[in-house]
Order: sequence, then C-alpha cells, then structure tokens
Amino acid sequence: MNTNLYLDIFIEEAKEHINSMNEKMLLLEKNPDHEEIVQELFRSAHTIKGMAATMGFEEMTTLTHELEGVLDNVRNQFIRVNGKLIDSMLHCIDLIEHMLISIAAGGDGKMDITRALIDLQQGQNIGKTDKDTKDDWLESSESSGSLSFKHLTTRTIRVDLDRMDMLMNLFTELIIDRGRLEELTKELDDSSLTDTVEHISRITGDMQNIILNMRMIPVEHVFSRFPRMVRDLARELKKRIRLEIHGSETEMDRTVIDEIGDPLIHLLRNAIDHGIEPPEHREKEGKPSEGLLQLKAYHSGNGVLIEVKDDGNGIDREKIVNKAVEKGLILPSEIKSLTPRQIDDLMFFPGLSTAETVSDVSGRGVGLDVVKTRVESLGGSCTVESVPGKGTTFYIQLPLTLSIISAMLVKIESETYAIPLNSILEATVVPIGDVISLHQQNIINFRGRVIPLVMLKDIFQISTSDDKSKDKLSVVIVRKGDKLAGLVVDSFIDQREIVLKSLGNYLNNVFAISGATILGNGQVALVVDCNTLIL
Amino acid sequence: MFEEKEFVETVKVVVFRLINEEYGVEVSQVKSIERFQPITRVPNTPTFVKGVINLRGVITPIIDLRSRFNLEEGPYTELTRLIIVILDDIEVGMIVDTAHDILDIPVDEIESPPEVVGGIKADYLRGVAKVKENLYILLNLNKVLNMDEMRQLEKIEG
Repeated sequence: MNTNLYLDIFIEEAKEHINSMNEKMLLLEKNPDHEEIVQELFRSAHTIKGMAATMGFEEMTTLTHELEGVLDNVRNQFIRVNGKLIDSMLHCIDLIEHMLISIAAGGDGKMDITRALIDLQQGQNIGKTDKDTKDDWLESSESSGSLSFKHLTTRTIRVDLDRMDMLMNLFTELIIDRGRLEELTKELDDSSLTDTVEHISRITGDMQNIILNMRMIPVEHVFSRFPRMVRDLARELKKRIRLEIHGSETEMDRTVIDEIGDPLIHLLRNAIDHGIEPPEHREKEGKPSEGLLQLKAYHSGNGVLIEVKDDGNGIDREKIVNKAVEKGLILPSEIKSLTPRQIDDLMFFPGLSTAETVSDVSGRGVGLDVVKTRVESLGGSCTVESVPGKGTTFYIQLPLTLSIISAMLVKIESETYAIPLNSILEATVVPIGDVISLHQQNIINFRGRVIPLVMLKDIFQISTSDDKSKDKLSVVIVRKGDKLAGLVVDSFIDQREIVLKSLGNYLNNVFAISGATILGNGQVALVVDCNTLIL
Repeated sequence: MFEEKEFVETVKVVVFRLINEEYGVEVSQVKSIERFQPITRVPNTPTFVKGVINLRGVITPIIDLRSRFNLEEGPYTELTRLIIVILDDIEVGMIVDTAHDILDIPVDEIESPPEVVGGIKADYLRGVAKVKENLYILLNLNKVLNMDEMRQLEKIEG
C-alpha cells in the first residue's frame, strides 16, 4: 500500500486525537470516576494505535497499545486513577506527539519508549495494590453527575485547502460574469430573463456566504491545547491557576487560526509567570489562593476579539518606567507627562521585560513586542488594560479572514490600485501651495504633524500622459505604528471589500506591492503594501 | 516488416512562432493556451515581465518571450497567444507570436543546439529538432523561467 498518500490524513487525525486526549486527561484528573471520559480516551488511544499500525510506526503502536491497556483497566475498574498515573499517561501522550512531529518532518517517529512504559506500569501499580496510599488518589472535585459531558458526533469531511482556494477562485469568476449578465439584462429589458438573472443573483449571494464560511473553523482548534500548557506551567512555577475558556466556538478563517497560537501562548505564559502571584502571596492580599486566568473569544465589529485576562498583580508601572528610562526609550523628564495607558503601552517595545528573575518561562525581553508585530502582520491590533493589584487584560483584535479585506481603490493615470483600509488614516485633498519642499522631500503639515509625501506615480514608474499642473493633490494618509506618510494619487474611486490574492511564486517580493485583486470588470488591480512606503 | 515499425520514443510539443523561427515546449509543461488579453502592469519588475492577468480567478504573471530573449519586440495581434506553462510551483504565461500546432518529435532527432539559434543563447535551449525539413527549437523552461538568473541580470543592469 502506498502509505504516503495517507500520511497527511494520518498526521491531521492523530493530532486531533492527541489534542482531545490532553483535554480529556485533565478532565479525568478532576473527575476520576467519570466513565464516559475514560471511554473517550480509550477510543482515541485505540484509533491512534490502529492508524499507527497501518502506517507502520512500531513505537507509536506499542506505546498506544500499552496506554490503551491501562485505560481498559481503568474502564473495567481494575485500577483507580491517581496523580502518578495521570502524569505518566500525559507523558505518553507527549511522546506520541513528539513522534508525530518527527513523522510530519519526514522522520521515522522512532523514540525511546522504555522509560514511559515503566512509568505507566508504576502508575498502574499504585492504583491496583497499595490501598494505603490513599493520599495520592484523586478525590472527585465535583460530583460526576453534575458534569455535562457529551460525546459529540460531528459529521465532517476533510478538504484540501488548495481545493477550497480553487473553488473560491472559480466562484469569484462567476461573480464577475454575474455582473456582466446583469448589465446585459438591463439593456435587453426582457421580464422573464430579468427574473432568471435575479434568481441567479440571489443564489450566488447565498453561495458566497457558504463558501466564505467553509474556510472558517472554531478557535477551539488553538484553544484546546492551552489547558494542558497552563496546568504544566502552573505546576512548574508552584502556582495554583484555574483556566476558564469562553467562546471557543467563535469561528475564524483557517489562515488566521494557524497564526494566532504562538502570540496567545506568549500572553498566557506572561500572565502565569508575571501576572498571577504565588498562592501565599495571594492569600496575604486577601485573594483566593487559586488564580483565575480567563481566555475569551467573541465577535466584535467586523472581526474577532480575544481577551487574555488574569486576576494577578497588575502591571508594575514604576518598574516599566524605570526600565524604559534605562533602555533610553523615554527621557526622565518625560515621566511626569505619561498617562498610565502610555506606560502600559511601553511594554510592547522591544527589550522591555520586567521580571526580576529570568526564568525559563518568560523574561528574556522578547515577547510582547513579538506578539504585537505578529498580530499586526495579521491585520489586527493589540492593547492592554491593567488595574494595580486587581489584574491585567490583553485584548487582541483580529480580522475574520485574511482573504477578504476592505480597501480603497485609487486611480493613478489609467492604472487602478487598492490601498488596504486598515493602513489608512484619512483621505484628503491638499492645495499644492501647502506642499513644502525640504531636502528634496516634499512634506505637508497635517493636523499639526509634519508628514512626508510619497509620489506613487514615481514609485510605480507610471508614465504621465500630459503634464497639466494641478492646483490640488489627492493624498491618502497612511500609518504604520506611529509613523505617517501621505500617498499622492490622482483620484479616489471608492471603498470596497476585495479578495486578496497573491501574485504567485514567480513574482515574489515585488517592491511596495503585497498582492492583487480582481475587479468587477475582470481586470486585475494591484494592492499597495503601505508598510514598505513608510520610513 | 516488424523492424520497420520499431517503437520510436517521442516527445509531444506545442509549436509556436517567434519572429521567423518555430519553437517548441513540452505539452506536459503547458497548462493552456489563451488568446491575448489586457495585462495589468506590475511596477519594479524586469522589462520582459509585462504584468499579470486574471486567468479564471488566478493571478498569473505574463512574460514577453521576445523581450526575455532580447529579440526585437513586436506589436500584439489577433494571432498573439499566451502559452500558460507550469514548472514546479510556478505558473507563468508566455507571450508568443502565434501557437498553431502540436507535434510528436522523435527523441533521436533532438540535437544539442549550436551556440546561438535565432538570436537565443544555447543555455536557454534543450535542443534543436529537424522534422520533415522543418527546424524546431526546443526551450529549456528551467532556464527561461529561472528567477535567480533574472536577479543576477538585474544586478548587472542595475
């Protein structure tokens, strides 16, 4: 059998089962007597075993076989769940995941599994024989009856993302033809034709929604790995933390989901390491010894907002200010005039880490600035709010999708360009007399700020048809962080949603162009990359 | 009788014309042949890159093959065709004077090219084949579409 064909499917499915097992294992830790959870774990282990055996990965098969055996014993109540057993099972799942990563990278997934097997055996022995080690048994924290835990059967199929893109491409073509058809119908003025075309318009409109929604997956795909990470980290740092996840069913485009995992891990680690205090410290402050970490996702405007909220100590503003002065980011004389908000925003500058001890977790001064850049590269934004002693909340605003963006269409001579709306501050008309030439750079005074003008005609080498001198300039004010620039165009067309497409692999890295889009008439318009034009 | 009908290995090529010469690209590398259509110029690219078109929803770069080989550029006519080729992960349309035939060329007939044919350096060619008194110049797309070389070219020019 040509197993290569199935390798991708195997990796994807195994990944899902590993995620689910991690999740269920933590549930089991809290509800050791819950049968359905064990059942679910058993099923996942069994599925991975079967797939691994078919694909010929021996170590993974052996390991999952043993894991399945242990779970079977738990299921049949031959052994009881205990802390040691959970740890050893989690360790097994980690090993399986590592094997999978190795396989995905083209390796053979071979790893030393003897240690894991011994651990597993020891965990079983505790549960089986030693009735006196009751301390290590887990007490059910909630009565298992109150726990709503259902096995959800989802009816889904896997589709290659490339095929989805193909469908999307063909569909946009269809939309363009629909436009032409509508125009022709108007000219012909035939009632039965008009009816049919209107019907087509409605159906294609519905189809558009469905096709766009097909690319959306719930944020659960990234959120599901966090409970495990938070548990391990809290143990390592000897903190007690409860993670609450809300809105994991919120849907976003697959491409965005794939990118937000790392920034969120950063923020969660930050909250656990810097935000939430050790239990003793919290009790002294009159807070519950268990820290609360909340992760929320919800729709907001034209995008999704993700909140990472802790009830820890808040941001130590004095420390940040001192550090910023030390690093030369601000002058000592500026401290007085800074608002709390501005101080908090300083955290997003490179090189600012306020942890007193450099731990394994965070505090190397890389972090928040990386989070910010990553989120901004996705067309999102990142803000923070903090109350001393009460906690800190990070807000990440993200677009629903990367493939459809709002843009302003502009004309330069006969060429049409699209400028992404999230870079635009304002579109304005400037009298030519207000332009000042300074060191061969044209600048204007815009609301009290001096900003440089960028002549798109020169940047894009557009030949001028006739040199009629105009008395006004059409300027699109764009921003990158705090920096502004004015892009000079001939005229503004309008604002609309466009489907962002790449120029392909042949033309990569074209200066100041980030992609292209297809206009209603089937023509291609280039999308301006404002970030490269602001210096 | 049997010896005469001996199996001959052939390559199928799309035949096209540039100025006065006939050229060929392997059919396996050709995705489609399109009529000429308006092209959106992409600034800050080499002169032979004429821009991009919308090919059934896919943005496809277009190069002018005459310009690529430093031949004299001509006007685009009713006969002008875009040969869309696929090489590894890149997809490019090549503007040619006209594309009119698909031909089986016996592999035995392909000879290594002389240093320059039709004003094109041998580096870009896979070989030259003679079929029924006609000469066909076979392109080496790997070289023709090579970006590294393009960049080096830019450096020398720039």
